[in-house]
Amino acid sequence: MKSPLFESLSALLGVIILLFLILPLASITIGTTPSEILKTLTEKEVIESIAVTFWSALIATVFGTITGIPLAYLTARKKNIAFELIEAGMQVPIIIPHSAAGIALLSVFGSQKLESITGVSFMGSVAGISAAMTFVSVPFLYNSAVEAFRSVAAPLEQMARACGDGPFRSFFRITLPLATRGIISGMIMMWARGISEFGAVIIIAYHPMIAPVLIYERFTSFGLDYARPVAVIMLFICSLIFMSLFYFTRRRKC
Amino acid sequence: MLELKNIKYRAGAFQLGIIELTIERGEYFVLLGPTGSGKSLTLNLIAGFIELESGSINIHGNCVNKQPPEKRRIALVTQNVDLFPHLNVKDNILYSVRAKKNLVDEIAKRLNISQLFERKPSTLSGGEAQRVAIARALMCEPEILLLDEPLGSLDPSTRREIRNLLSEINEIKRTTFIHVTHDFEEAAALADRIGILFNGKLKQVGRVEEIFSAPVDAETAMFIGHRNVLHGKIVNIDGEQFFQVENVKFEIPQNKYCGNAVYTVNPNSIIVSVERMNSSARNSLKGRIINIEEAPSAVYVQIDVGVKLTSMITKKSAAELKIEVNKELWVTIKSTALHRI
Repeated sequence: MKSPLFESLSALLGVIILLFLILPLASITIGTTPSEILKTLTEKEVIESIAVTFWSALIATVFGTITGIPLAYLTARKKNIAFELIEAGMQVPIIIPHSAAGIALLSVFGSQKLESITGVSFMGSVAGISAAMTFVSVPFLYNSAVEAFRSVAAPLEQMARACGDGPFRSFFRITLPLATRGIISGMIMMWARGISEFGAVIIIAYHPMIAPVLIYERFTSFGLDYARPVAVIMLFICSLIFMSLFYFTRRRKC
Repeated sequence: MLELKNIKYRAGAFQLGIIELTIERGEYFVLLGPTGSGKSLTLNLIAGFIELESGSINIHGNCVNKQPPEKRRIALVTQNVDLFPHLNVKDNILYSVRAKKNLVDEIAKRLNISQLFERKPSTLSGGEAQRVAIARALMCEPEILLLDEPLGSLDPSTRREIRNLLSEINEIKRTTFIHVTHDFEEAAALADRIGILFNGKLKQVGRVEEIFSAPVDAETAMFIGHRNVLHGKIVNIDGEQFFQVENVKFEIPQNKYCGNAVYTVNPNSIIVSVERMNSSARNSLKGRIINIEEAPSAVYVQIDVGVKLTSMITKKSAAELKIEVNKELWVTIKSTALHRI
């Protein structure tokens, strides 16, 4: 049984961190009038930047899911030094400064050679934005998926094999459905992290302008009042979408 | 028929094998051994979950070493049940691509699980879940059913129920059963034959009574529940052979062997009496009761005659003899009841 003092102290510390998070968000929301928000929403530049942001993050998430999920599965199942190193290495994009990530990406995606091989121009394009978003956000999906696969007991897969399933079939009938919740959470986290990316994107693709870059540009060019309505709109849309998705994933039961 | 030929496998410091074993079609074979002896590893090799290092596994004469698990026509039931948690009972039973839908009703009726079809595995009791797991395995129409400690996590009454069920299914289906356990009583109740596995080595294979009456060594004897395992030496005295344990000498049948030896005596073969018996039995020793242990249908009386011997007597005999700790009794053993291992 917890003591009242312990619970009171825990609650007090919790309130401090909640205020730390809520106050800035509340401040910009309260400091922006509905008419400012409505006016901003009619600006083509704002709408386009929000669309580019969400679309690029979606492309990054789909690409990260297709390529990252198999790697996450192998990491969860293979117990050897190579995969331990891979798992550690996958955390690097989280810990390095994102401007440094942007420079690193520029050295690969900025080359003409890659453009001539793939036929895709990454500089100043949605492809470049998605590449930057993938780089910085895929670890969130990967980590979540690794944990989700680890939570699926390997004997269940063996049981499926004994019942006549090949490796692909057992993966899609047993492993993937049981890991779905963790994977979807990871996808949401990756998408969210992609949407909020600024440092890496601004180096590889200033244009087309994503919302975080637009907010920064308006702030540096015209000041806080001009940047604030875009920030509030992004805050509102993101909160709505992520709360809905989290609610959906939490409700899913195995 | 399943043949394991020259099976060897190393897992870290543990070495399994060499194992040579043939299990006939329809046989109920129990692999018995303590924890960590390599029983589950052997099942995993048969199932194809682990690739063999050397040797071969033949099913009906065909080498299956290179076949993945899904091609081997095996099915598995484990202690942890391992039902698919996101599927209901019916979907679990019908999971196998080999499942024949027309068998569902018959198997569900036999295993008494029809009423559970719509339930999720997390809502089942241990016994219900194990019955569903057995049904799922049977729906695969396996050539070989592998049972990895299937009764391990069940309470005694459910264990008895599932044990009877397994025995009945083996009789009816004539599928080959390979059942792994560390419980000799369970093995004895189910097995056509038992294989004793210790530290990765298959020490003895035989029918239950063969193994119980002639365990291959002291370790096996102790493991299968022999209460009288005596370590001593065979000595010649005046042209007669005795088995000497400390200062106690047992007369034994003549044999050519002399030196250190281990003998067992079945508790059933030790007669206790208040007076010395005048009989054909060659060994009569006076001792004192040091322990009395009541079993459901008998009483185990441990008597110190210089070495400790345990006799099994009926409750009626115990009452008539008025046995109590420290009471002096005579112990009578036929020399032929002493079995050298």
